[in-house]
Amino acid sequence: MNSTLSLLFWGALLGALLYVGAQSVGPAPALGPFLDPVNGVWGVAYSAEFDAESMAHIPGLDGDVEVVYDDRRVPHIFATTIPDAQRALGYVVARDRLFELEIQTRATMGTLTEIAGPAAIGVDRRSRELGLAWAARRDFEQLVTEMPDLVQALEAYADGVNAYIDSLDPADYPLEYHLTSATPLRWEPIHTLYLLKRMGQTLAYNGTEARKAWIASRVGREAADALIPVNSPIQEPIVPFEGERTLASRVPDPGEPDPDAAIQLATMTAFFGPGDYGRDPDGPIVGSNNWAVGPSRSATGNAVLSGDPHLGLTLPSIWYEAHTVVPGELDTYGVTLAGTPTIIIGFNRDVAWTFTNTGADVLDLYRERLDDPDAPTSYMLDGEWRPLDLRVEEYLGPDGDVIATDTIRHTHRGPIHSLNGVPMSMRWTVLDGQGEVPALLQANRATSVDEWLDIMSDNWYAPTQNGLVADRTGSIAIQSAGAYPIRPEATQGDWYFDGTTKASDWSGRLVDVPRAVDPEQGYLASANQQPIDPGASDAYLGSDWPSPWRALTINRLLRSKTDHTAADLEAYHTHPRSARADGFLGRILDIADGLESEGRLEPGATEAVSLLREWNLEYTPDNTRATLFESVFEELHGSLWDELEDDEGNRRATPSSAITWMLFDQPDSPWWDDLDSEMVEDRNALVARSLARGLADLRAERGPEADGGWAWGAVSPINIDHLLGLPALGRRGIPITGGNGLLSPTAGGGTHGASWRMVVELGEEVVARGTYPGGQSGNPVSSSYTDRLEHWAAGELEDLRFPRSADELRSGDHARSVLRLTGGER
Amino acid sequence: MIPAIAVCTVLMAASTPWVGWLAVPLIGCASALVVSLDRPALTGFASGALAWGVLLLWGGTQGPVGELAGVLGGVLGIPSAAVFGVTLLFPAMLGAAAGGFGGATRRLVSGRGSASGRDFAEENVPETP
Repeated sequence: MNSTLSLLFWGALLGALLYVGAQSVGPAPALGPFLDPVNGVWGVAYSAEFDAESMAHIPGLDGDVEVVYDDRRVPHIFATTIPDAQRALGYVVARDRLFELEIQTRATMGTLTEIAGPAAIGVDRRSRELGLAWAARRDFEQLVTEMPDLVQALEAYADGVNAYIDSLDPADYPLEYHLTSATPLRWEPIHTLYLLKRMGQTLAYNGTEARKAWIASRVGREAADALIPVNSPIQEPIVPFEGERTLASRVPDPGEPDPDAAIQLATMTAFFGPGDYGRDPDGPIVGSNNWAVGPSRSATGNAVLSGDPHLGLTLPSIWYEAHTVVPGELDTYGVTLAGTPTIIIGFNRDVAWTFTNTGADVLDLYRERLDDPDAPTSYMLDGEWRPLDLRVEEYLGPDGDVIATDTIRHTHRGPIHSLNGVPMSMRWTVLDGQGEVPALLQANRATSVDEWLDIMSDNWYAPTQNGLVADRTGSIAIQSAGAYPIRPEATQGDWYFDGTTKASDWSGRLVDVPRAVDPEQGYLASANQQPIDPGASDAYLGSDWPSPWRALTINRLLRSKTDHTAADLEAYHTHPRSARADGFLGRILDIADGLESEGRLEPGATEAVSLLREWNLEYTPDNTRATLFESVFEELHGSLWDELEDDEGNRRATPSSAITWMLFDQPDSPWWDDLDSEMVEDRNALVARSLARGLADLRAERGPEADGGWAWGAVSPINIDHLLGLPALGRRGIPITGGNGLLSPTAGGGTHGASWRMVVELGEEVVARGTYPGGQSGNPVSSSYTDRLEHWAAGELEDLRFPRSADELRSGDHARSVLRLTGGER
Repeated sequence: MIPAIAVCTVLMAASTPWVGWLAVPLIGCASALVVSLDRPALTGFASGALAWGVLLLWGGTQGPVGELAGVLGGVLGIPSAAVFGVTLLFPAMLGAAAGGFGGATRRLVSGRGSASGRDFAEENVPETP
């Protein structure tokens, strides 16, 4: 080969390799910097564990800060000022969870396309249409003028995050940055508000109107009102109630479809998404539990509090455990959301607190009239055309190019959707204001139950939360804190309003929110059930409450004795029985007994009854009969509510199982009839058929019971996906004791569950245990990525170290690494 | 050739932390340009793989490199051994191409045709008719 040809050959090969090395193709990173063993993805391995001693610099620190990581990789931050503690918290959270900080922020801002390209535009579009970031920006402008102290806290936190980002070489970037060729986004103080708005969306974006409209469009308004009721048919309220109860008496028969509801449905669906609760009667509930016992129910005479928030489970976890100490001012331990400068759920030396979601109706829809259906500029209000506010949203690609532009229109209430010629606007407390950061910053330093409750009353806005609190004097209390809209008289928020009149608007917020302090019963608990018995208050707080099975279970356990220990409360987290199964199985077996005595039970159903009689009513991982019961119940529920399906078999709203409970008292109701069969079924016929089919379906799907395929842990495991959904970084198929309606739920295909479990005893010294599914580190090859998973799955909590000083942690041989933070010029 | 590979390996390994992945083609090309190597492409191939191999071995003392290979393999849908393989093959190919390019350039500039540069790859390139 001559020299020129040789040169061309090698030159072309080199050029091609350099191109492959330098150029990212689609979502794939550029090969050169990615594979570089020093500066590339391999650096993820080098930063998996912390050095025993390290130092870092945060500009603007008031003094030196010592961070001691304990044997569970929990940072104990010892600072001299509160802003320094917030700076250090930002730093340590970024050190472990940098990508999580960014992805959550981008999800709210609607800028995921800047990392993932056009593939993410659907998610971004939804965020921007909702206006979460828009509302956060407005709130932040208000804070700058009205609450400069709060802005200072947000800035301090941002200083810490950014100091960590500035300290990084590309090799130190978390794995996800290497995989997406992205670089870390600098943290701005407003990002904390983005995060909290997103939490508001998770907890308070309640599409009752759409569910009710779907049902009304199939079986009429009267039936819809009964199936999506304002008052739960089974009352076990959060605020203890001893008065006379007035419960709904019967479920009306299916009626004629409501044509008006069908017309509204498309626009409502645009707000809430298609929603499809399929055959999961209580849906993928983002629910939670909390409970506390006072001295009269506690073995030691101390108040003991238990926190058990349920959320979507991810790796890394939504929670990050930390302890912040500023002598004389702050000494708080608990979990923070990555991105907030404070502990969200936790305890200090005097007080412990936790939350469950109230699930109140804090969102309303308004049927608007626009001047032009295609390009509206005005909307009608009290006989006058008022200009719509326009918000132009640009979506950028990874290279900074504009890939799409939307114009979002607002009335004075909020953003508009218009489908099929039906324009609607939305008002939602989450877009209206905020008060969560000031509430939590102050609550972290509260010294008594009363002080904590006052802080919540004065500040907390949205989402509404059942805040449970206990203190060292033995006091316990619960308050459903937040903004509940006051609607026009004699109306409720579970149907749309006439938007052409201001008379439809909210006129303020409820002052008297549900609250109980030191009740005579000696305990308090909440599990997302209706907060207050309708006999005690007729204020409209919401509708379609989750069935109170978890509340019934925990209240039964708490009532059962007067000497509860912290260990008892810990064990209740994974109590293996469910009030739902306890109740329904009894009713099903009673019906089967009657049918059997009349010789009307077919052999398959008889066998199912026989197997279910042997069930110990527990949902433990190796239990097989729990699987049979759920198969039977699913069959029953699916056939029962077939009137709510459309022609394609879609059912976008399903009544809660509490409604089914009520329907069991109406054996001849037409709801029991299976529309697909030629005969007319009543309750007994459907129960008998569900028993036989539930057993047959289970065998067809999973083989004989003896083959092991019925094990509950294999049928209903927990599935924890990575934030990006990368299978190699998630953990699926984790068997646990839990299930639908249990204190440890496995809703949503196992992707939702107990996100943080904590038990705190407030004695002379505070003693606490806790854990969450995952680990402190966001690095998939760190030993702390999933180190808590095994304990969590087994229902075991771990001792939480709560030292008063760094030396105390060291002397107990619990210190594993130290990070010294120093200040200096900005 | 072995001394040349050893020197190139050391240079590539030492400069990668500072220069990044481009250290491999730069050193591969420069060494073939400056020194008359017997087989510049083969030298670059071996040096590239060895240099990054040494760096990965060092990395193994700094953190769970094997575990990371498993995670990356899971993400990319390939065995973890293939992740190591690609990490060594890529610099090897870069080194070979750069060495070959440098050697060919040197021959062209010095006017020595193909005489000085017997190369394992050249043997497989068909003669121009």
